[in-house]
Amino acid sequence: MKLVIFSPATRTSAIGRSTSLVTNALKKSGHTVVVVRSEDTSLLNAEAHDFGVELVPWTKSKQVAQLVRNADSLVYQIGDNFAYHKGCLEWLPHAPGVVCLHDFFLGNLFSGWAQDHMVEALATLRAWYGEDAATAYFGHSATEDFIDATHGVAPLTEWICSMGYGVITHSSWSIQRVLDSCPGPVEVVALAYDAPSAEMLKITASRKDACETFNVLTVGHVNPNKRAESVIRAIGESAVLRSSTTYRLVGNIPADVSGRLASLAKNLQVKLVISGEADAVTLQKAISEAHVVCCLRWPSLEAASASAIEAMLYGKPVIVTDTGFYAELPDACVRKIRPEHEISDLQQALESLHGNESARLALGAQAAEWAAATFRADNYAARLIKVSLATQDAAPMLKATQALAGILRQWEASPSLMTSSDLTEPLRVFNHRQETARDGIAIK
Amino acid sequence: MKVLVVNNMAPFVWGGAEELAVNLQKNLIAAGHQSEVLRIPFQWEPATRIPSQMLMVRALELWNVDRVIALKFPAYLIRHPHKTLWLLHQYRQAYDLFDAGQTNLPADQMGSDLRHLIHQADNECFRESRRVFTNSEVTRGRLRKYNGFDAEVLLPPLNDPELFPGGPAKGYIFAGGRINGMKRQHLLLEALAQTPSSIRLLIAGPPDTPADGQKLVDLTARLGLGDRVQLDLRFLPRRVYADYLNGSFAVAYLPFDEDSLGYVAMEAATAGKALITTDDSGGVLGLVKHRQTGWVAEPQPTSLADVMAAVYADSAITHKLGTAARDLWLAMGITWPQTIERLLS
Repeated sequence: MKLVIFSPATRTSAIGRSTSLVTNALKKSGHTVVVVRSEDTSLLNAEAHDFGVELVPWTKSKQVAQLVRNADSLVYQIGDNFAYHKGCLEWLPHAPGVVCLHDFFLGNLFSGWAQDHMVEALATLRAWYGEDAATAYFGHSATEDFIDATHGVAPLTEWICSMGYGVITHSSWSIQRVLDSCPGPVEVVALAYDAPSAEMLKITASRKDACETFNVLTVGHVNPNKRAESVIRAIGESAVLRSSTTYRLVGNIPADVSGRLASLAKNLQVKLVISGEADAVTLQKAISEAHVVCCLRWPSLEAASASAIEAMLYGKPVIVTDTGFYAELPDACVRKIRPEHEISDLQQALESLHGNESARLALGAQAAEWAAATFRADNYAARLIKVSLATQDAAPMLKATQALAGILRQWEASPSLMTSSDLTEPLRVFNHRQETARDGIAIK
Repeated sequence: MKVLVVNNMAPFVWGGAEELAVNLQKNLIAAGHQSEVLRIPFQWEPATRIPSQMLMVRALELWNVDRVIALKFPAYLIRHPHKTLWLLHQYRQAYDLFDAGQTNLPADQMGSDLRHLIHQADNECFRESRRVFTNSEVTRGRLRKYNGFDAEVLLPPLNDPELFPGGPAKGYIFAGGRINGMKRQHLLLEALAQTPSSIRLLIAGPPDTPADGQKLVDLTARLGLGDRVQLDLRFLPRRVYADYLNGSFAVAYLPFDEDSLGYVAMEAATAGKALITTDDSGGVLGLVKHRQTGWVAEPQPTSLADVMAAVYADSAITHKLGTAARDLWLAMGITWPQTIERLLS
């Protein structure tokens, strides 16, 4: 099969890393793949992951159009970062294909796109969420206010999924919006991820484990929903943790957030290390030095978490919030805390892991074994081919559906009218119920 | 030229629009064209089923057709690069009947959404049509008011004028045509109950539903009018219908805000019969001028009773008004050859 995959390629993109693994697995299975880099023009020359195939910038319109014409399947890797996925948004509406959905919340992606498409953006909001949501959407001043206000009522999942002929996503927790909006097959597939230095780091970690202070790590862009503040409070409120723990943040962090967290840590006498954005080697070293990795989220926005998966692959004990993708992880492989008892649960989990090295090692080993069997590129590649074939089969029906839906949109039909059974039943093209299950294709 | 006439179809319902479509086809052929009628099924109950039918019309593709002349909603949504509308009906329950509280659209957000959808689809259709004609000033005014489009009025000619030469009155007022609540035959019965016993009424035509017919039967019995009213509630052969009309003293036709002059009124005028209507009957008022060609009453029994009594009060005046109605109709010069020429212009 000839596949064209639109994806960020820069080494700072976890989605790019996952895609590179899948691309290599597809190649190994005998498929032909071209990757179209989807980043903003300012990032198109950044160092890329090793895809092992030709990389074409999305801006080379003629070349990309030629690739699209000749492809058997078009694949779009979509996450909530406009700078990384701008090219996807340029091509997806004109050349629909399979959407690999990495985040259920796409508000940041949408907001970035909306800057140059305000009329369409407002129409999109109105169509999916109503007039009130459209009016209020762009009125939030702070990022956290914006996420709080929109993630539940207007996550924009439907905006992207309605443009795809099929969707692969990586957990089931917010699947209903995908099912409601994607006209084609939907499949839940475990994200493809790896830990290239895992064996080496496990050896290093076990050698050092007994003699280090208790290192707690959080990885990734330090947004409010990653709960760094709660980790600091949990440590600060525990005498045993406060005296022996170093809490490290690795990832991009805005200056105001950095200052606020540093001040809080100082007040609570918590040793905080803010490392900022790091390259792969520094990140791997940080993971190797960590005794526990905190992957907390509230609210949860993503379909899967690369940082949680990576930490598990490296055999680290991982503490997660019992929500979204994280809730679907096996209880035996991670420690889960209840969001409504966040600090007390977190403190208890950290204290129990702090005092019990064998429990840490056992939890990490179990996580590593499960993660290595689950987050496999060869599995992902096989599923991607399966969905691509299902999408090809469904394409004539989907095109008919889109044509009729286009007429209704032209007539400004409301979402409730477009989905009413009195409309869909007689037409027999919208109305196949859809079910989804992990590793199972469901065609509407 | 190959001209396709596109109209709605409600199975086993036949009325003025159906007659018009058939006669348009006949006269197109008479004018030297090839013509067929495409009838597209339309069921307006429940209203929530209307959008799917609009979509299906819109999805149809036509080949081997030079011109389309479309008549009614939603049939006129059909796509063709050279489409002319001769607008007989929009979906009035989304327009003036909605304002009058006589709509079948749900009284909730879904109803508003349906109404908006119909307006938008209509506007798109009017924009894409080469020409838009209406069958009356009323339809034209409604189109202008609700959709902002102007149109040329093209009144429909009578299809078989030779059947209506008139004739001696046999002593009854005739109310012909489809039987339903909008045509308000029940008002005539209620009025008749308030008139002298010498006045008689003949109501004849096909009920839209069995309930529409039963309502008149029950009302006649309840008002004790059995010996003064004849109900012939069925689809009548044209000859029978024409005989009823030709033998009448006057013809009553009281639709609520009719779009056009109305076939019943045109046939009555052709036969030289005085006309009775109401001041809210819309296009019919184009032919019925109070005390010139007939009588215009208020749409309530007492006023209608006065008018019915006036028909019998002086037969010479009634005859004179009938003659004036025929003169007015003939002066309008509405013929099929002229109509075809305008439609294909």
